Amino acid sequence: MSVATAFSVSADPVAAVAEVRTGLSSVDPALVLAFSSPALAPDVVASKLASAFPGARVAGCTSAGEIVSGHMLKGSLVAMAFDAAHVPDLDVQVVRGLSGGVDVSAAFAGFAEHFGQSVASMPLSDYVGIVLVDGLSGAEERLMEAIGDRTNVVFVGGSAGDDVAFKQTHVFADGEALSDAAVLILMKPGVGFSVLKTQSFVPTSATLVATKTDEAAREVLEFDGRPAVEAYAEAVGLPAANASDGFMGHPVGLMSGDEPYVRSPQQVLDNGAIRFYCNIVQGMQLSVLDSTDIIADTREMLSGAEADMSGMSALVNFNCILRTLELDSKGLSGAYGDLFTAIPTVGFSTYGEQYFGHINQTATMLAFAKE
Amino acid sequence: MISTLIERRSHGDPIAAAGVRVRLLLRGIDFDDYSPTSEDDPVIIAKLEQMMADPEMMGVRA
Repeated sequence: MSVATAFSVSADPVAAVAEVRTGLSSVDPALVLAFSSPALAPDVVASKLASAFPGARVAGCTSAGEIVSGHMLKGSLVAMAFDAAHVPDLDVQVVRGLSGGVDVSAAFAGFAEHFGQSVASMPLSDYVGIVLVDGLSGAEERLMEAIGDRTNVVFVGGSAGDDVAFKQTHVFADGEALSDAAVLILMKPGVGFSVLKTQSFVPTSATLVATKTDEAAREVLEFDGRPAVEAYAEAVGLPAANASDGFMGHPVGLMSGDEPYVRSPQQVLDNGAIRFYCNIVQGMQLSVLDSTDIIADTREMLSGAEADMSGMSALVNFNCILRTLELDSKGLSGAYGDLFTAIPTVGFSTYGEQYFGHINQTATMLAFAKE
Repeated sequence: MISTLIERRSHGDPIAAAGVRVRLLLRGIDFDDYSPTSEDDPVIIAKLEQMMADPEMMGVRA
């Protein structure tokens, strides 16, 4: 029972895939997950990966930075190979044409055909999913709702990136590189697994109620019956003209008990509205959040999870680009990568994270136990 | 209606029930804000009906 990780910093996609193929040669893979800088031609990466691993299902996406055991990288290709003992049964389905409406029925029919049972009937203790989605589609909420309407199985994942160019992202599935699409991987692992979530924020006593929103545009026009920017700025103790200075350190959180589901402000609009990186539903009560220590919080979460699982054999990390930018600005990217030195890890910096829904400034992870 | 959805989708499994509650919360439906005497809200009811549309989900063992 084994997994392997590999990476390449070659600027040539053919050479990068060849290097990764060599690095993963210790494993006969059933599944290969790969995350690639968009600087490497996505269609070449996708097709070469598929031909390099003819016996495996291959899935992945473009990124805004890559993560592999002990390293946070830029401009690279990272990959993890899982053998058939680790993931004895899996299927990969693609949901295309997200901009025309999100319809997962064909994908779920495909899963049912592969596994011989409907996804609705699958025990969430035995199955888990990964979702990778075009990070510029704006379709993540609808996609996650469509998945959640059909199953209790947890799908965890991230939105593909493009090195902060915000022009085009791609998801990979069995040789294809696709935009305006999502890749769903449904697996029945051969070892224990756990879905993890960490964000480095605590709620303050300040709350805001979204009283007027444009959900499709991910915009809040009014908090507490006032222009959103005014109410937000007051809540974080800033003049309205400088409200955006508070965005990184003071997003808002939809609280489930003590657990925030972070919604990150992106931009103040001319009409006093605030655009977010994920939607806020009209009527939601949100807590204003204060940032804490990403390194310490992630270390503590990993330590607890490792103890609960009696050790990890593999970890897939979907880490928000906003966390990566904060780590970069503080010179802490190396320290973050170090957290994953002892755990076989692969991941990427995302344009949003998926866990029951679409969230921001969070790391969602899929951890595999050793047995 | 909200309690029925959670009970039938989770089939008594507390982990599944917690997941359904988070899914509801992310759609703007906070379970704790509602009681059997709460006024009907057509927007909320439509969202609940969407989550109850798959008959297998409403009867499946989680």
